[in-house]
Amino acid sequence: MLHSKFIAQILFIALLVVGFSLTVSAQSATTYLSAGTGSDAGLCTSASPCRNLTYALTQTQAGGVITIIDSGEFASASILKAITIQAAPGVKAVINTASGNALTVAAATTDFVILRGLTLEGQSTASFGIQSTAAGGVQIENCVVRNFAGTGISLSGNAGKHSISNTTVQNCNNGIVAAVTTASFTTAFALINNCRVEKMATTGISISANNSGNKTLAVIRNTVVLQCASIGFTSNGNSGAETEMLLENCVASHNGTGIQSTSTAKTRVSNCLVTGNTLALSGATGTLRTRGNNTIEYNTTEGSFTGSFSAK
Amino acid sequence: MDNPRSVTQIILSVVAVILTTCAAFAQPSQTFVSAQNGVDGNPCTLALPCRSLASAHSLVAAGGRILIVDSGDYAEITITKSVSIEAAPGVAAVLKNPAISNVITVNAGSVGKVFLQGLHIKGSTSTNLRGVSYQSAAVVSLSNCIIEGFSGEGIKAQASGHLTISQTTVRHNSQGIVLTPASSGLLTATIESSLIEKSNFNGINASGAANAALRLTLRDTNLAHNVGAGLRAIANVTNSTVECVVENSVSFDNGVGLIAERDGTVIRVSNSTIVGNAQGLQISNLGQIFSRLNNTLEGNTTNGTFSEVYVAK
Repeated sequence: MLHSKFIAQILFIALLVVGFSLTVSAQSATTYLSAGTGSDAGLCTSASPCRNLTYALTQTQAGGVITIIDSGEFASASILKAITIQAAPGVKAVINTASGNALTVAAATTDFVILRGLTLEGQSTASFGIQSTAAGGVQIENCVVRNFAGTGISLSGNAGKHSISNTTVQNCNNGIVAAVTTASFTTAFALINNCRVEKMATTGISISANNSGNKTLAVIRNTVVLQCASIGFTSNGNSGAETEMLLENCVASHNGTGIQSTSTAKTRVSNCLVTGNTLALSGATGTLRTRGNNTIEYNTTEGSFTGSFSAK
Repeated sequence: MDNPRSVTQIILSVVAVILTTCAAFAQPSQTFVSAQNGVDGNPCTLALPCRSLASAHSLVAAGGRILIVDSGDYAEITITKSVSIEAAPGVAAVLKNPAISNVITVNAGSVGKVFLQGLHIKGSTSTNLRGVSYQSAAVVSLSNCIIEGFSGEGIKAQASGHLTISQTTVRHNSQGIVLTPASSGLLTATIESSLIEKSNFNGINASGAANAALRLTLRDTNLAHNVGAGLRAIANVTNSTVECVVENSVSFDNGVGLIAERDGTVIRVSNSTIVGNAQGLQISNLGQIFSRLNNTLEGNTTNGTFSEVYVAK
């Protein structure tokens, strides 16, 4: 009797240990953060949320979702895998930093990173709001990015498939930059929809590619760029790389230059309003094309489109 | 004297019993669920919420509402009657795929009306399951939802009825939205102000059924980064029609922007942008894509051409 009871006890303890180890090592598909009640321990459930993104990232499976459930401030973080970071609707989740980047993305080229409903604050001294140097794609929705000394949203590195929607970028050096900067013969695709970019010290939205054979394609739609000291929208192909930027139903107002297109770029403009800029249009020959349905009025100097395309 | 009194007493007791029974079985029109302090077995009131959508669904009256009151994970549900499931504004309700079934199955008969609002429906890649499976109902309406990460379809409607999708993101699924009418039926679908992206196959696959019609209206919607087509319309069987109207929408960075396959398939395109696809338009086997002559079809590796034009009125 004693003997069997002893064995049973040992088995029970062994089971407990195994169970405990499993619990400790398990990552969840969904985790939760709270500025009010969170602490960095355990599994980050909605009933017992964690406090910091960096800790939650260790507790969340690749491809999982981190949800911020109440308003408050959060520290910056680096994202190295596929993940969604979102604030619950109605929650003001501010990632606040005076230096470095608010969010850095350096993931595999097969990883997708989704950022939703976040406010990124750079106190006019931090570098980037979002800096992605590697990812399969970054999707940014309903975010506010404000007061960064560098670029608000920078998506660069290898090819990626990016979408930015319903997002506001204010008071940075550059607003949104989408570029292929490293590998050769790759293409990045960016869809920018319903965004507002204002008060940049330099450029509002820049689409570019470096290195021969690289390409960046962007569709920018229902988007307003205003009060950027240098340029509103610019498309640059450098060193033989190509860029194509299509603007549909956009506004460029009160910038230095409204829309710029350089030598190896193809920029198409349809249904847009360009007004109040020092120079409305600046395009190398054949690169800045109109569908003939744009309003270009009340600029100091109009400049001109350098080509056209037809409605079909 | 005794006799009438006892009769009265009996009647009173019977009435009391009936009232009690009614109270016990009266179904509330409003129920509440909470991830943070809900318990199944509760009456699903605001003070005593339930934990699961399934419990609230079994309690709520037909035509009633299930309100999700706090952020957290919620399990799958099969809807068998008219009901609305809504996350309160400010709440992130994450409906997780349990790897054994679709997250939301709608089997609400021919008259059921199902409204889904503010739900984040999250899949797992390990199984061939769906975010929303519309099997029967008069109406299924989704607004402000996110449906992502399913190895099957984000939304699959195979029914007669009407599907409405607005302000919704459908991404990272095997296919985004798959529409097929029931045999000899009519399925109408309206998709507006939505983003359908990064499907491994088609963003939207609109296919026909024998002696049946499918009508799709797509408006203010972006189809992007889908490996297959942004929209593929195919009336692929006898006597079937698939009629699509695409207005103020974008098809960008897909394998093909728009596909019309086979006789009986027509896509009408107005005020839309088809750009950055490997192929802009693809037409085969007597399918047709019409233009109102106000579209941008540029910058695709191969643009393709519209079949015909139709006129503004």
